[in-house]
Amino acid sequence: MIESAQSQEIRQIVIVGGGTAGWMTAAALCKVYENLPIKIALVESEQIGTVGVGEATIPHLRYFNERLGINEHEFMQATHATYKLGIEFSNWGQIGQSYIHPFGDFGFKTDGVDFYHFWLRAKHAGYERPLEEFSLPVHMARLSRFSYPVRDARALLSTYSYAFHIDASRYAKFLRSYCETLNMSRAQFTRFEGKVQQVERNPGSGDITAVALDNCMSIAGDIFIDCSGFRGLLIDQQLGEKFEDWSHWLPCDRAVAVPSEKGLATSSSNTTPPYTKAIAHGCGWQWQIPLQHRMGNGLVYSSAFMSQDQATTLLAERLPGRPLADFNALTFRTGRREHSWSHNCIAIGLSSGFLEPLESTSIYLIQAAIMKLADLLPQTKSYVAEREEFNREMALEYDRIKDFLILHYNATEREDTEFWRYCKYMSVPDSLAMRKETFLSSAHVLGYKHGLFLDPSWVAVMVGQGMVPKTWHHKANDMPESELFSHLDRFSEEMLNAAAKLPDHLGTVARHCQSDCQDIWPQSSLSLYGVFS
Amino acid sequence: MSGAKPLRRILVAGSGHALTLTVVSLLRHLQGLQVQLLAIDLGESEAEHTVVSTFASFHQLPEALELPGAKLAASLKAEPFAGCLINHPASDAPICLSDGEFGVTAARIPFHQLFHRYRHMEPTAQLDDFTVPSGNPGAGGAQGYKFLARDFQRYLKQVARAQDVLFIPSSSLQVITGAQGVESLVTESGQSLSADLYIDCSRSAIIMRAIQQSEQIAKEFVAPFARLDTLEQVGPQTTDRYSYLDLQPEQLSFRANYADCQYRLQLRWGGSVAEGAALTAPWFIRQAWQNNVVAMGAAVTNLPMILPGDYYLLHKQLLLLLNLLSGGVVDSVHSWVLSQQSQQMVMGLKDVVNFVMYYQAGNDNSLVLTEANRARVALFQSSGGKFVAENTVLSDSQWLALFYACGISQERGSLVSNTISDADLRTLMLQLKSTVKRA
Repeated sequence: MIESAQSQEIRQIVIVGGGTAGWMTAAALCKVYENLPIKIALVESEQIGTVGVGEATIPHLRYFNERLGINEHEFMQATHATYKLGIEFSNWGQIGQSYIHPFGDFGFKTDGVDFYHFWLRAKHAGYERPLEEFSLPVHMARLSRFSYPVRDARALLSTYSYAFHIDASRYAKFLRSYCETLNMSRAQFTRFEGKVQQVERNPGSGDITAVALDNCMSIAGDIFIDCSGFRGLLIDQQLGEKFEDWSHWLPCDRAVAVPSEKGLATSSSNTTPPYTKAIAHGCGWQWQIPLQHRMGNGLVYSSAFMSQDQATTLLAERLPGRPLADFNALTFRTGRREHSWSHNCIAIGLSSGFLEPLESTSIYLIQAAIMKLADLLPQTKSYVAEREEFNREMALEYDRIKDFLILHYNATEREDTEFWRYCKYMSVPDSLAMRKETFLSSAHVLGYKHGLFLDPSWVAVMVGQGMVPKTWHHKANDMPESELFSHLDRFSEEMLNAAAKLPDHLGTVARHCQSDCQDIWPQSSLSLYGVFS
Repeated sequence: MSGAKPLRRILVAGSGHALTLTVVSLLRHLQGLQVQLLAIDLGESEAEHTVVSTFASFHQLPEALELPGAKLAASLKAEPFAGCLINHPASDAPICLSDGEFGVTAARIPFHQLFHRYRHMEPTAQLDDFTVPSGNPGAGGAQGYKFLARDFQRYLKQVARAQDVLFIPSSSLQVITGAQGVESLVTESGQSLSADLYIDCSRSAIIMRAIQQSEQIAKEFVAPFARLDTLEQVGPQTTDRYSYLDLQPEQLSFRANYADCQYRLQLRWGGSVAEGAALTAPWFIRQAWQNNVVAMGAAVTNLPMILPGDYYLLHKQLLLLLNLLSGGVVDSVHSWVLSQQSQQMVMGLKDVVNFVMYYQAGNDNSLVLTEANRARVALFQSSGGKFVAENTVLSDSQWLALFYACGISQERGSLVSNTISDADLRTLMLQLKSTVKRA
């Protein structure tokens, strides 16, 4: 039977699941397709909780919000957001050592040579300042300062980007309200309350045709987006898409999470620093994410090395203030679906794969999937080539982030527990092994064009965790040693002074959350290292 | 580090611009390190009038060599190169392949998606009317050049000689091998030379083949071709900014305008069209760095360089090699990295050559598309989707130009391309056309 052209058009998109992934997808599709006769439905049940991962974000979220036309100050107010300039990793390379992976590069290039080569040469000659002291966002983070970056590429204050710490459940509510507001003029979007009880499929093609809810409603669609989280209601339970397991390289498989009060500030620590904390412990690591009103806490661990009781006790001991809810235990498996898009179903978020939130990539991976889908989705229902490309690109995103995360565990000198001995001596993917060896032997970072973490990030983590090459670019030898030392000192001091003059982080957050705030936030970019790059 | 060894002596053997560029690159880059550099000039014939054309994007190397673009251009009497026109039987008008971008992304819709819809409204619309040129020639920004290969080689040789590099002439070379790779090279005068690292820039991979067999590129991907020695000065022509790539049945013809003259080079393929020239089977070296030998550029593959990416492979490899050697040591991981990445570069080149030959061959179905090209074409034909690849030689705009030149069009648009109204689209395209015309 030949179907008419009209029947081939995509008319109804159904999103199953209403957590962060579901509402980000709904908001984006409502905005992107606002002029088209396409209906968007979201099915969720208030009886099903959400994981609410991804309280710490990366700068790309600003791009997402900007595309939706969201007012950044309203977003901050709604999500109780604070600013984020990077992540502090403590006890990863060695116990007692810490470094910040900033949203910015280190220093400036000289004669086309990256700054870190000059630092490497100085370090081998006895220079003591760590590399992070040549990053403005690191100084800002340590001093708890924040200001928007400026546009002038020659200015120090242009050398960083920023992201947010947010209350993810509030972000989902904010986006729900966004969809509803957008929908007031056009009846494009519908939210359905209910649990999916049955999935109907075309017996010939295997495509999903409708989801039946426990309240007897049935919602038909042309495209189904699985945002049902770890359960993978459609992609796994219905379509049985294979899951590629990466637990060999990323052995943590459990977490306990709890919000708490922020505690009291001391002379040496601020309760709301503009950075996320990732503190390694004997069998995994702990996160601390400062929001305006509370601290987000979690402890990630490997069940092969630690019990849930031990993890809960350890987290409780380390909370900065009184817990504000019950401890929430999470079980996960690290890896990704072989195909995120199968038949007419696209998995977005945790149903598509899971990478622990060590580098705050959960929300980014949702965003990347949404953007790729919006770019690729064709006008009609035949999409073999588009599906293959989507799957290939998403696999690449996951694989490259995977390597970067493994680096954190593997580039360690820790041998104090069985867990760390395992991480230190485990075999790593060839792609990572090659990158590590190349950096150590020639101080060169093997780059790629398509991937989230580029050279400055690799340098930050490798050097931060003690991988210091014994060689550097020969051009770094051009300057006499004493001149190099004093030049570096001046440069670092200049950065420190520039950071010290900036306004206080919490004060800036408070100002930006006032409804009459006149400050204008800078444009966004799809870069970790600068707003205008 | 795994077995890092200090570099004390490097021996480069090859011919023409590949040899001199490699030598100068190493000289500039390894200064300050105690590395001795020897060069053997094999004197393989390089056509007198080969015109080099470079896209701006292929122009990072002179920068890395601290050869100032403007000074270099003046020395070479270089002319600006803005792109090449592809005359393809499948397209009704020449398509410009350049560093420029086709149109702009508007209303968050990529230009080609807008163009696809616009062409339904205005069937006579031409892609070139919307090409936004790259850079601004003369302003010192990134731009492409064209010049004679011979002049580039002479320029580089002067630079090298000024730093006391001796080019040892030797039309033949005996390669003495041992368990660790190459032990020494013996020149035609009987001089025996040894080094820690041998860099092979010859067209026949003379050193590398002594320790590693080359592999054939399956003829279903790239037909055996003949490089006919018909490089000729066609005669005085009006110089313009372009060189040309003509595609006739079973023939690729490159025409380059330079210094008021036009030069032409032809490649042919197909069993019956040998015309006395030996057919060459395309080959490649799988491990570009094996033991103590590195193969560069033409020593890695003899794939025809059919677009202005002539020196793509050599340039890319050199940039990587310089980075790897910047510490003055060689390490086993270096050979791993350079070999793996060179392989990716060759596959990227193969995609371009395969694509052009496949669509040129027309009904000759002995050629098939590479896997990447199949996916690339299927995606574009389906809805204008962009194929993401790490190793692509061409930019998105350049692939688009090739698609159009080869008569490949998209069957439908992406869903997002429907989000602009016909009236808005028409206004936008007219504005863009007028802006481009003014520029």
